[in-house]
Amino acid sequence: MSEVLLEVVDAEFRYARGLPPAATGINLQVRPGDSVGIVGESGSGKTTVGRGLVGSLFPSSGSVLVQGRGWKGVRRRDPVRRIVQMVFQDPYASLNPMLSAQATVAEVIRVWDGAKPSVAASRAEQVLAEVGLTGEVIRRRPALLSGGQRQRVGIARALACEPQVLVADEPTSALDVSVQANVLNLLLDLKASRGLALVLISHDLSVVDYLTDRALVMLNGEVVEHGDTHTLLQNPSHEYTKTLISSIPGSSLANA
Amino acid sequence: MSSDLLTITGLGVEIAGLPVLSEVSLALPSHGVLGLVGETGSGKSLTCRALMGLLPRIGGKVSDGSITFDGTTLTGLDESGWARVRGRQIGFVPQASLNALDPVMTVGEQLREAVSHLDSGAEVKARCLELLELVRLPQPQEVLRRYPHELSGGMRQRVMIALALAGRPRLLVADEPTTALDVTVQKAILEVFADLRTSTGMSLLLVTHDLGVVVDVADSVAVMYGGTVVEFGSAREVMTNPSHPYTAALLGARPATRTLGERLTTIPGVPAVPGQWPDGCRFAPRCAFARDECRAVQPALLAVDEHRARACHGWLGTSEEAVVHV
Ligand SMILES: Nc1ncnc2c1ncn2[C@@H]1O[C@H](COP(=O)(O)OP(=O)(O)OP(=O)(O)O)[C@@H](O)[C@H]1O
Ligand SMILES: Nc1ncnc2c1ncn2[C@@H]1O[C@H](COP(=O)(O)OP(=O)(O)OP(=O)(O)O)[C@@H](O)[C@H]1O
Ligand code: SF4
Ligand SMILES: [Mg+2]
Ligand SMILES: [Mg+2]
Repeated sequence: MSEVLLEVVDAEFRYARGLPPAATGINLQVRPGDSVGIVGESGSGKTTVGRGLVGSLFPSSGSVLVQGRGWKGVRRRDPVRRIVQMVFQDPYASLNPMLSAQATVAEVIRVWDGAKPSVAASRAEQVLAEVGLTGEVIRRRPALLSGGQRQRVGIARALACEPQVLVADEPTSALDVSVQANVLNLLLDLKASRGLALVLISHDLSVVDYLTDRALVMLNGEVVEHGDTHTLLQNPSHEYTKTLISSIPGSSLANA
Repeated sequence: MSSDLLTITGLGVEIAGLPVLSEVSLALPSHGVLGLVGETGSGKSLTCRALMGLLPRIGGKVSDGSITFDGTTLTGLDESGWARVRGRQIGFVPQASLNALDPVMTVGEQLREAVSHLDSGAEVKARCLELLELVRLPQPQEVLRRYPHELSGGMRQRVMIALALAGRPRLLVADEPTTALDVTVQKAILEVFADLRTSTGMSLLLVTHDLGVVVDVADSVAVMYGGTVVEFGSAREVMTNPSHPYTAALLGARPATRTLGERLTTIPGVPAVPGQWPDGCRFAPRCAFARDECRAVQPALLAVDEHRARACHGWLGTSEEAVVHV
């Protein structure tokens, strides 16, 4: 068995003492090349688990281990931070409004690789091209970009770190299907070529089905079902999963 | 058509002198639902902004064409004129609503402000709770006390929808309003819109990239590419039997058409962005059927039959062929 990159053991997450836990009983192991989907009700704790995985929220009980150590002692510039990257659900809020798309991506390359500004800028251009952003658009600040363009800047910034695990929270929710297809193909290629592990949080069950091998279904802060993605979606056992599947829009558009 | 609540005719928009929309035409009957789809960057959100009179805030202006709502021309209204339309006549759920809320005000404060401003007759407290219940937020009392950052993405999105509905608008313009919602809540929200249409006659202009949603809820659909409308007509017709190569390619790129591990079909080439629109048909550089005529003359949006119009010099292929395998 290959090394475990991320391990979550019986973790519970709370935002404040007085509040009920936002997620409990979370268990998960992520190895190179794994791809895990997290689906579930809005407000059920998916983003919370994502924050826990990348160490921006510490568990109130249980543990989250990255390459065997807890996030708590990890400093800001510790190289282990680089290997776990997150694409945020809200691309607008997570981007610096003063930086162009290119500068946003170049900044992380400079920070992690110590690359010279000119080198970082041209690498940034390459990474942005991989997510379909080219030309004059990459010199624009977030306010001048469309929703889908901003979302791709967030993806490019995460990929520029050459992570081993990508936690992607609704990474394609603002993308039309053809650009979404480009991004999904890119993730699939990175998985094949570099063993990129993926934790994909998504409301789009067809994307989860397409991209992941295992999936967790969350409801009210708990995992109510988990297993092989395809089997789970074909043969759901929990009532909530069944409802979820029966609510997929466009059944009349089915498979072309 | 006189029965149309909203008509946009030949709309052109410029930002800082750069054309970003051109020849955008569409119509929405009262009680109707229009889906607006198209590639990222194709101009869907800018069309919504134009419709809400919000272009000046981003340094943009209408350079051509007109927008008519219930017989009144909106283009040319001054700010106080727009203020009377916004919220009461036309409600707006902006895209990326996740951060459109005021971070330092609780949900309750923001809702109360909207309700007392837009709905003078309402009993404010009761109306706020009613709105949160309407958008299917569990524990509405609790949500009123929360700050936006204390809510999940989908909860914030539902608060934005509640705000847009506060003025009981006759038309709701919703720019990707359900991207942060799971399919069950999305379904519930779409049902809320359908109920409002039945009970109050509210029309809906729904921007979405989910073609399944379009088929389920829209009567008609407008497909945008490169700052213009390339196909417009009955949603069922357009989505099952597309008459424009771009629409056909879009339908072929859905993950549902492929199985695990198989690469998805994409549309080769890059989207047409403002400032770099090609001459002639803007889709020509990526179209499998492009010929000299296409590269020379921009096709106009013309009726193909009684169900739809398209902007294409003619394409005789099937939807399978429109999807170029790369
Ligand atoms: N910063 C915070 N402070 C307090 N409570 C929070 C905070 N962030 C989230 N919550 C609460 O935690 C719960 C889980 O939220 P989370 O964002 O993880 O949900 P989610 O599954 O990602 O939902 P969505 O699909 O809507 O994005 C919700 O009840 C939410 O209100
Ligand atoms: N404020 C602005 N100034 C200059 N250009 C802009 C501005 N806002 C958007 N644009 C550009 O205009 C084009 C259309 O943008 P718009 O936001 O309408 O796209 P969209 O169809 O809504 O895309 P998405 O699906 O990604 O949200 C894009 O190329 C975008 O970069
Ligand atoms: S006008 Fe020509 S290039 Fe444009 S979509 Fe039609 S066939 Fe393709
Ligand atoms: Mg979330
Ligand atoms: Mg948009």
